[in-house]
Formats: sequence, structure tokens, C-alpha cells
Amino acid sequence: MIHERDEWLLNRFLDAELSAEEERLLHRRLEAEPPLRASLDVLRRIDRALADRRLDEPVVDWGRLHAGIMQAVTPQAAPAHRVIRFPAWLRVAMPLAAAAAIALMVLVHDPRVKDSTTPTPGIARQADHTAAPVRVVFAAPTGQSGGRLDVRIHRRATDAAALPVVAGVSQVAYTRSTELDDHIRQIDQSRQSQSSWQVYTADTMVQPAVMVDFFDIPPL
Amino acid sequence: MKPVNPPLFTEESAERDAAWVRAALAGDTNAFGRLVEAYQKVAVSTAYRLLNNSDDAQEVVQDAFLKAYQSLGRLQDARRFGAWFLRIVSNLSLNARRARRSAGRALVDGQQGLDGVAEAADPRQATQGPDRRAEGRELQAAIDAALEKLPEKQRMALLLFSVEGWPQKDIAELLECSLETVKWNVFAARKRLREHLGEIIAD
Repeated sequence: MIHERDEWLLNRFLDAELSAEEERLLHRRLEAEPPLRASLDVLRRIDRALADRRLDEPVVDWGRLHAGIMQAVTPQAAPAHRVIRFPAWLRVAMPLAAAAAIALMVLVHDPRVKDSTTPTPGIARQADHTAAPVRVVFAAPTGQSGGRLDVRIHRRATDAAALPVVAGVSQVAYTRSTELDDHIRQIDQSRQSQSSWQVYTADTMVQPAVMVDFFDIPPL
Repeated sequence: MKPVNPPLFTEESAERDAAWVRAALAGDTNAFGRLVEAYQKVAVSTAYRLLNNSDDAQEVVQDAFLKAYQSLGRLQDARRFGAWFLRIVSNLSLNARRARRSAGRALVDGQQGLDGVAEAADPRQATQGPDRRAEGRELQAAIDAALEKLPEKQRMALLLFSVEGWPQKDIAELLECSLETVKWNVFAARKRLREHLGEIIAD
């Protein structure tokens, strides 16, 4: 049995952390103290046995593992920046589209809205909604089982000059739904036929996001 | 002296990872693929040391990459992707270990081995490599059992340092603790192993 302080010393010796002087003193003690020498021998053998385990490597097909990981992440949406929430009208639409799972986050920059504070992700600010008469319609791209969603910003034409809007979307996992597509198409067609509405297509992510919000839009 | 690997987390890797993380967040899946390439080996090795099973380790790593991908936007500092991701790997590995234990796969209570040390039911036998040499199977089996008894942090610190050859600084980054705490954990783990295995080794 050796003192804990000596055990600590032996550990530092094993890990090559002793100074030359400390090592010299330890070697002198090892010659004179068989229990200390025996402890060091045991520690060395344990360390050697542990190091030998490095030869016991996992059996892995790295290419296959990589492919499996990428396959797992590919159907996912682009990694989300923030918490995501369903717009209310989509929640209404959801029962129609049982398989659909769409969630979106919209970044909107509205210079008329004060944005001195960063909004809490996932919590819509009602005041901002009323200040920015913007409507958002979400539509899934056709012919894909997943991927980036197309987001259109619908806004009353009279507001167009005064209210520049930049929008982007950070998106989501979703599955296709014919019913939901039809529902969205109807909303689009309805609004495009009205001269009082302009349709905007969101492009890339806003950098930096000066306002993060969600739009709860009632169904038409 | 044991071999110590070059540092995992360097300025260079931090810059590289940050660029890939930013690209992945912008929707570039290939950038995430590069992160997978960069970390899959160390991730599987880490999980393997904690789980002793190749299949379980790969499953954990796949889950970890998926979680990382889904949570990438919540990573505060993209430069620290490596430590953050390997923390996910180690946490999932520990969860898997606990689940396996509760399912009775890892340690059979009451089964006594050499020197009164409980023997681990070795779930890796189907997939473990053949090269346990030097000290022999008997000692390795006793070490397995002794390792099972270590507190998780001590076990992880010892395995990453003494088996995987990680620099202690990297282990500190992974465990989110000080370098001194890592040293202490390695020390305490060795001490306990010595107490468990001293007589076997002395024979």
C-alpha cells in the first residue's frame, strides 16, 4: 500500500509530466522502496493492457456508414435555425392531409417594425402582425418527396411601396400530400386573381435575421 | 510511454468546421457530408470504447450525426462543432450503455470472476477484433469487469486517454471540465483498476 500522494506522483511519471529533477528523485526512491516500485509496475502493466486495446478496432465499412448517415439526413430539411411552429391555417389543413407535416420559420425584415429586441424563437409577436400586413403562403415544391420549401409572401398592393419585405425560410421535414397541395394551390390562385394582392417569392435566408416571427394565417 | 494522438481540436479544424457548419446551415448537404467524413472515425472509435460493440457504436454514431444535423442551428459556436458533436456521441453511448445494462446485456449480477471481480457478459464477442495480445485474455477480461465498475466520467477519461490516446486537453473539452479534472479522473480510474487488478497482475 502506498500513499495517495505517491500514487499521484507515479501517475504524473507515467504521463511524462515530471520535471527532470522530480524524475531523478523518483528513480532514487524507486530503488529504495519496493512497494513504490511494485505499484509503478502494476500501473505500467495496466496502462500497457489498456493501450493494447487500441488494436481492438471496430469493424466498420466506412463508406457504407457515411452513405447511411447521409441518407438519414438528406430527407431532412435544411438544419433549422430556430424552433418551428405550424401556421394556424396549416393546422386547419392538416386533418385534410393526414400525412403532411410541414413546419416553417419565416424571417421577415419589416423596417416599419421596431426590432430592437430579439424575439423569443417560436413566440409570435401579435403587435408585429398587426403592424405588418403581410400574408404568407407556403407551398411544397412539386415532384419532390422532400427538400426546401417555396415560400411566397402575399401582400396587399397598396402596401407594396411602403413596406419592403425580405423573407427567407429555414425549413423542415415534410411529406407530400395531394390534399394539402390542392389547398395551397387554391389559396395561390385565389390571391393571384385579385388585383389587390401582389405575390412575392421568398429567396435566400435573410442575414442577419432582424426579426424572427411566425405567421398564423387563417384559411381563406 | 503510451502514444498520444495529435490534438483533435485545433485552430485549423475549428475554422474548417465553422465553414462547413455555416454551409450546412445554408442548405449545403455536401458540407455536412464533409463533417461526417472528418468525424466519423473518431466518433465510432469513441462509441466503440464506451460500448464495446461495433454495431452498437455505428448505430449510436448514425443517431448522433442525425441529431447534430437537426440541432446544428442551436450550436452556439460553429468553431466548436467537433467537441459538441463528440459530446453528443458520448452522451448517446452512455445512454445506450445504461439501456443495455437495464436490459441485462452488459453485467450479470452475481457472476463472479477472477479475484472476486464480477465478470462482464461480453456483448462484443461477435464483433470484437482478435488482437487482444500482450497481457492476455484473462487480464483483459478482468479489466473489462473493472472498467464496468468505474464511474462514467472516470471510465470515459481513462478510455479516451489510455486507449484512444486523446490529449487530455481534448478530453477536457469533450467533458466540459478543466484539464486538472481530467487528470484527476484518469488518476482515480487507474487507482481503482490497480486496486481491482493488483493481485491478478502481480501473479
